[in-house]
Amino acid sequence: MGRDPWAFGLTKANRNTLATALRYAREQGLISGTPDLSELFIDIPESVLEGVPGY
Amino acid sequence: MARIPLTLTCGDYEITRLLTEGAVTADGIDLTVLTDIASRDRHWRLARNGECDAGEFNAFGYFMAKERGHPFIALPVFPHRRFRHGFVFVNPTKGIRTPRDLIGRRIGVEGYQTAGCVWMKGILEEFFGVPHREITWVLPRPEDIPFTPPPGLRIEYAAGDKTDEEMLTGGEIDALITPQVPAAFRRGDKRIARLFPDYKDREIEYFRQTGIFPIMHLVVIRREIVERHPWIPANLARAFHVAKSMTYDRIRNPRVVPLAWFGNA
Repeated sequence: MGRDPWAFGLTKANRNTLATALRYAREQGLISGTPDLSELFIDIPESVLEGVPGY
Repeated sequence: MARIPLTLTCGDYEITRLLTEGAVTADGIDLTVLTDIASRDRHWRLARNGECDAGEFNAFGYFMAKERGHPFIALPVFPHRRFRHGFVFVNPTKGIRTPRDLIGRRIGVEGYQTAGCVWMKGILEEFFGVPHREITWVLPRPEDIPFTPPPGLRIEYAAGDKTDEEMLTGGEIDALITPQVPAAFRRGDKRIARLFPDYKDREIEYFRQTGIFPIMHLVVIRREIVERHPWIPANLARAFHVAKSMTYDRIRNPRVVPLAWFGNA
């Protein structure tokens, strides 16, 4: 699963996962719209996460 | 210079523990962490009562809350992720052998909006041809985010005090999608079985096919705090990240983990 399976930030894999989650939410009638991820999240730049031991 | 006080609710996870127990601090923030709230309560206490400044929250509850104008915004910090094929249970006397045998049945869920249940409803529909509208969903209680089901969706609230697994073993529901492994299953009760006994292989295959490690929970913070202190989200996210990374670093040494063959799985 790669070096960071529990990745934070709006990485490509997380965007894909969240897009599927939003699609399921809409299909199941929980939400009516399709919000953009930038409306839902304060993105955290990769630079904020750099320079950490173990990462 | 005083640090900004912030209350945070978060569950008990190895990747967050160094932060929630205080070994890792968030720069500029004086955190009070509440870890001792059961997952179910944590969500409604944040959603309905707004009791904390920030906290771990069901991703789907958040999508709903956002659309309904609740005063929170999310950080892309995901404390809880889990594959869910292993969390569909059936009563073996009901003749359910394949996923499509679930069509037309009564399935218990902890909540229609519970993250693990939404993911598994979606996966059953997308990959196994089980439309969520052809199931009767049986819920134990009202939802965290008040919700009017779309027309045609069959939702029932369970009568009486039985738990969802008692309803399954008693035959009142045919199957159960639950965030936890039911106690009756752990005890070896023969009236409860996994729909996918080979769930680990299924989950590995699902990950290979989709690249998805399903996100259950994210972290939300009150919008007014971000407006007042725009640096807080990045510093809080970094603190979660430091805690997680230090945990990765620590468990790379299998000596510290009380599991034989850990790291070879």
